[in-house]
Amino acid sequence: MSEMPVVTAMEVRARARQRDRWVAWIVVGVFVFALAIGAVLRVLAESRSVEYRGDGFRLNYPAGWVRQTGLQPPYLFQVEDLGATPTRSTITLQRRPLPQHDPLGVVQRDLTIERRSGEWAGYRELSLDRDVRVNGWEGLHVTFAYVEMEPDPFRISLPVVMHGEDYLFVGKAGVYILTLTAAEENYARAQGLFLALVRSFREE
Amino acid sequence: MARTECCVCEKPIKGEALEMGGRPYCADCYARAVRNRRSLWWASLVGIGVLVAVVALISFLFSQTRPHLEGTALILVGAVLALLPALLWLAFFYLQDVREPEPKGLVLAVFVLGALLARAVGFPLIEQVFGVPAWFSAGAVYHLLGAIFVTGFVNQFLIYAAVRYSVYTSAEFDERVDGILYGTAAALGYATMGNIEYVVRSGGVDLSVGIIRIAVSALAMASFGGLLGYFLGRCKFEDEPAWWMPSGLALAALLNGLFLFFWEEVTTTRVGLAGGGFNPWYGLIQGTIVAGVTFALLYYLIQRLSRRAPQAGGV
Repeated sequence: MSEMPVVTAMEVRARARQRDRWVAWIVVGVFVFALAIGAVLRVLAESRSVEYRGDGFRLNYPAGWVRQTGLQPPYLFQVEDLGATPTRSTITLQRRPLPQHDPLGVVQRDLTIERRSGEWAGYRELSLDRDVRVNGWEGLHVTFAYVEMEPDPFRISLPVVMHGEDYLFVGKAGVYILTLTAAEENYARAQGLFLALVRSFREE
Repeated sequence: MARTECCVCEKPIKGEALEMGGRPYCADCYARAVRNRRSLWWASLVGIGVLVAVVALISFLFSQTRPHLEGTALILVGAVLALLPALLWLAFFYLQDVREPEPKGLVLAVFVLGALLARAVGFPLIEQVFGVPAWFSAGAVYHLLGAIFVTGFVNQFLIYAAVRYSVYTSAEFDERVDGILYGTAAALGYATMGNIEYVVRSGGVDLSVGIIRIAVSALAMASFGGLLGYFLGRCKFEDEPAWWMPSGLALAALLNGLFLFFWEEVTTTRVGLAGGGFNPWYGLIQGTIVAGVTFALLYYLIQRLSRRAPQAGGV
């Protein structure tokens, strides 16, 4: 009588192990594919913008940022990224009367005095470029830092170091000041969005 | 006729082999593999019930008494509360798991591994590499898809990895239902680390609201981890097709993402004269329903598999 063929446990296990290895690689592949979709979504989300036409100007601001209404002059426009932590990132547009001499220099000095005497604790200018050119506008660019003492009005929390920058341009109706402020950790991302907004700015 | 060895204990099988997913089993190993673990279901059921009751009570007490805690004391209380869901689940599991108990050290190790993967890989990947949730504000579609493809997939893949590359290959993973057990443990570790991180990063939390957030997060993650574990358990003991496990991961990630999206939606309320803007209790209801339904579904699936399986020794 011939010997019966044996289906050994080792064979079954080897088969199972091989299949498990394949499955594990497929799972990794699915994970990587999902992350790639996530990366594309992020790029698409960050490149989306909304057009806004205001009093004598128009610009495109990042989709998802919330526009504030009921602003008092000299503020014409303000959007905030409410999802940013530990404190919101903000972009504002102001229009101030045009001084007769050195308009950008005068307005920039006024801004500095207001901020130092106001609630912007530890306000420091980090750089000043008097000859910046964006989208055909010639203007002045200032970067600065300060400390936000109450980043969240609803909770006791530590002060937050904020970074910011201003673009000042002379327009037909006055001096326009576009300002970004964001917590140190959100600044790099917000800066890209801010620059896109500055480039989209038009006086009408 | 072919003589067969059991794929688990390697002993020759006398008579006709019991088969599961194309693999031969002896009667003992088969009975163990298809056995249902009552302790897991009790720990999950009682754990969910007690957790919700305790959290509701603590939240109510905190909101009434408003204890004055600050700084380190507030962080410490918050961190202890962050451990509460996992401690409850592990305690109930330990008390129930008396018949052929699972090694508690291994369950704890998977729990810790889930927590470490969350801190070392999960949170940096989600927040720093993918910048979540900053771009979620671009629109509801981006929020929903981002929650699924980034947050959901990262969370669930790491929970899968915590089980797949540790206990999955060990001899202790000898029952189909072990997948659910270890998946839940890894997910609870992941959620616990997330909650501790939340407490520490916030410098403490409003305890009446914070404890609800902690419970909801743990309930949800435990449910999705259990679901993922179901797929792992079947993958280990049956020759499932190659798409089985990736589908399990995708399903868990989908549910995880949907949960996170709707969690924000249901807790955000209209601001009126009576206050509002945020109501964490809706989140607790959502978390309880998701956890209850998920574990009931898993129990049903495991029971159905056990009923369908031929009885050991009866063939």
